[in-house]
Amino acid sequence: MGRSFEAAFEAEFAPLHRYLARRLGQSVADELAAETFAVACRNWDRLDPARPVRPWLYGIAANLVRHHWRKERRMLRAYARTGVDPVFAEDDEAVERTDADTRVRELAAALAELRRDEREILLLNAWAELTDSEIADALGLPLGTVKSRLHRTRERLRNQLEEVGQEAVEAK
Amino acid sequence: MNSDELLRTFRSESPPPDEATTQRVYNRATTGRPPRVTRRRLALALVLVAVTGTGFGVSALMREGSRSVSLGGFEPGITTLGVNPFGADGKLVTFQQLVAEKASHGYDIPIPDSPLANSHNIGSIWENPATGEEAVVYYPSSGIELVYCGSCGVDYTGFPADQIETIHGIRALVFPAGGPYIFAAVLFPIPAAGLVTLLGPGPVSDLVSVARTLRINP
Repeated sequence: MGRSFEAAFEAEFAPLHRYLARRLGQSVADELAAETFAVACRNWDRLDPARPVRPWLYGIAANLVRHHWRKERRMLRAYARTGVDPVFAEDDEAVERTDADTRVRELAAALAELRRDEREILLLNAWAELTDSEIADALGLPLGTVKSRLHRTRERLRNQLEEVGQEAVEAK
Repeated sequence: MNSDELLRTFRSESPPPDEATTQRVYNRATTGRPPRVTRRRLALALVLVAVTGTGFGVSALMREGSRSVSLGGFEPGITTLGVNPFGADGKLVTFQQLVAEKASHGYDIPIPDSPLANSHNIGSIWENPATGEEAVVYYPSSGIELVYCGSCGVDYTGFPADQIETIHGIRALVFPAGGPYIFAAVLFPIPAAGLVTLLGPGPVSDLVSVARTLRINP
């Protein structure tokens, strides 16, 4: 029996929307998730039945997210600088919340400075919980490229955060 | 907490979508609401050349028989690939229909055969039946679009050597993303097909590699 768009929507909409909201906030997530599923619906009959739906949907979403990479970088930098996360700024209660954890702010700063493709691969792995091969499928990249970029990016993040931790200890 | 755990928990309090949002998105996806971006991308691709070329005193030209006509004013860049660029005029077709339609107008559509764009990973194809000249083929897995314009051409005069790439003996104009245009672009004039414009969210080298796989008949 063929896959139905309805079943795919039911299974994938909420996690995809949440992934997009973590990256760009609720209102942009609404727009991009809607566009992702609209594209998927229009092309549903053309989808290779052997191809998994999940990476395909995240691939469409990734193409849409790319147009917002500067906005994402601005939001991450703002969070790093102020401790107020613009992603939650639409939420009246959260707008006043500040996050005093230096490591979280440094993480935001480090994410902001990643290259677009590095950030994409890292967040598809960490937040969308896609496997390496699903990421390769979603982004149309060779599996080896995904593995090496993911490894390199994680290593960079780790080193940057360790440096910050070291500086904090020395400052005490 | 190590850096991997820190990343996993970063913004993890972001709430799931509510029922109203879910229903609204589902309705939008399934009722075929027209896409947000409906401007004519083809004209924009050509305007790109006009804008880029301004500093070099050149312009893109659209041929009308033997007459050359400079393109008009500048519009904002395209922000979304993979949507119908022709608005109400746009018609979804199969690749076979596209090739047949173009052949009826005397054009030989070149087909890419690259991992990024080939006959097996085509997503949508829109044609503009109002003119019979323009069509867009979208490859969702790579985000690349091929824009065909039968009656369009390019004036290279004044472009620096690093913006010109020779592909199959033909000079193509190459533009990395983030210049005058949000996407990378390659403008590849092919004698039998008119102008093929490749647009994509990745590096311009991806587009050049796709262009190199186009089968071109003299």
